[in-house]
Amino acid sequence: MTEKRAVPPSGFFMNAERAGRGMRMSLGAVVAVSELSPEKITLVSHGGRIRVSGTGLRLSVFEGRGVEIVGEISEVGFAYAKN
Amino acid sequence: MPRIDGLIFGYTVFSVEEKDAPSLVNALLRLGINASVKRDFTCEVRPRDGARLRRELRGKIDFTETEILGLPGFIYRNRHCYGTFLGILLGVFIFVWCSGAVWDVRIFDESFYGEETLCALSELGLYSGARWGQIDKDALEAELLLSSDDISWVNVNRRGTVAYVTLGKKNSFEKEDDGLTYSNVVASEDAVIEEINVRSGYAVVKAGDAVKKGDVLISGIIPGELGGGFVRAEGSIVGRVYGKVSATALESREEKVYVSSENVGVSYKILGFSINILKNSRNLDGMCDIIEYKSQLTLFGRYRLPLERCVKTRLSYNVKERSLGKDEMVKTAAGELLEQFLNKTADAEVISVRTDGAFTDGGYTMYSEYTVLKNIGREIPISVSEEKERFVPDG
Repeated sequence: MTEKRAVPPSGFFMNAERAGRGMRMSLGAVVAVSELSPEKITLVSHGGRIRVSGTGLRLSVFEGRGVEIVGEISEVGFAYAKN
Repeated sequence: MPRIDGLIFGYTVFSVEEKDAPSLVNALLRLGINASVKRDFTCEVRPRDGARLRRELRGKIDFTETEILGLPGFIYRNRHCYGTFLGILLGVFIFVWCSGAVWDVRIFDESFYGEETLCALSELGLYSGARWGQIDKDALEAELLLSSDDISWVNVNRRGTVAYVTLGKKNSFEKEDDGLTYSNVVASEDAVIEEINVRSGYAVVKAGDAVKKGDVLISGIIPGELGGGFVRAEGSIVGRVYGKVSATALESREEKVYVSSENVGVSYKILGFSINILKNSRNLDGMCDIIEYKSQLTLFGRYRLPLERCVKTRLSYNVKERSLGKDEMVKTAAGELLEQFLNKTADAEVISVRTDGAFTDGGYTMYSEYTVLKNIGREIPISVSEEKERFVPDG
C-alpha cells in the first residue's frame, strides 16, 4: 500500500535557512518576478504573490522555475490572488 | 567573481537597467537558464545560453552583452599572439618536465647518517635530478636491503617531487660470522689486567696479572682436564695501560703566505645537469691551493632544492720561514700533544694524566704520561691440522 502525499498541483514550495549574516530562501514554481531591487523582491506564483523585503537582496534563477534569494531578509509577505 | 566552470568553459555577462531587471529574470525563468542576478543587475551565463537569452531579450528591453570571457575568450582574443601561446606551452612543458624529476631525497632515521645512505641511494639511481620514470621503487628497496647489512627494512615513498626514504635499523645481537673457526684472544699492548669476562675459551690470565703485547689472554685450546678440544675464544679484557705522548715545537717553521686569489671555475648544477659558466685552466707559476665553495638553494633553510652553485678559487701562496715566540711554541706544542693524546685515548677511559714541558736548544718539548682503561683483547685465528691433531698459530 503506497502512501499518498499531499503535493500541491502547482509544485510550489518554500524553504528558508540561515546563511552567513542573513538568510537563504528557496522557492519553487515561480511564474515571474514583478519587482527586483536590492531592498525588495516580488515574486509571482500560481496562487498569489510573495513579497520579500530586506537589504542586499540577490536573486538566482535555477532550472524548473526555481528561485533563490540570499540577503538580509527582514520581512516575507504573502498575498493570495489569481494571476 | 565568476564561477570556476565559467572561467574554464567561458561565459558572457548581460547587464540591464534596474527597471528592466524583472524582465531579465523572467526571461531566465522562461528559458530555464541557471544564473545569478547581482546587485548591479548583471548576470553571467554560458555562451550557448547567452545566444538564447539574446534572442529572447532582443527588441523587448535594452541590454548590453560582453564578448566571451574566461579561457575560451582569452584564447580567441589572443589567437594571433603566437609568442604568448609558445610561452604558455613552454611553461607547461617545463612544469611537466620538472615534476617528473626527483627534487630532494629525505631520509627518516636519525641512526643512519645522511651522506652514506645518500651515496648508497645515489648509486642505485635515486638522487636529486633523477627521473621518476626510471626509478623502480620495489627494485630499489630490494637492492638497498641487499647492499647493506645494517638495514632491516626500507620504504621509498614519493610525495610530489620529493622522495621520502624510511629505514629500519637491524638489531644484531649475534657476532657476525667472519669465517673464523678457532681463535685465541691476545693482548694488543702491554697492560695490567683489570677485568676479564670470558664468553668462550679458557682464561689464561686473571685480574692483576701484568701482560705484554702478544700474550695469550683467552685460549681457544681447552685443556684436557676440562674436556679438551678447540673453540673460538671470545670475551672482553679490560687492562690498565700506561702510555706517553710527546710533541715538539721548533723555533722556526715554514708557513704558507697567500699572495693572490682568482676564480678559476663557476658552475651551476640544475637537476643533475652541470653547466660551466667560467672555466679558467691556465697554469700559474708557484704553488697554489684550490678551494671549492658549494652552495645549494634551500626552501626555508631546510629543504634542499636541486640547484647548486660551485665556485672554484685558486689561492696562490709562497712558503716562508717564520720564527716563533715562546708563547707560540708552547701553544703549538700543546695543540699537537692534545691531538696525539686524543688519538691514543679515543676508545679508552682516562684515569690519570701528567703533563710537563721544557725548552730545549731547538724549541719546546711537551709530553704527557697517562693511564687509561681500555679493551686490550685482540682475536688471532689458529688453524688446526686435523690429520695430526696439532694446532699451528697463524702468522
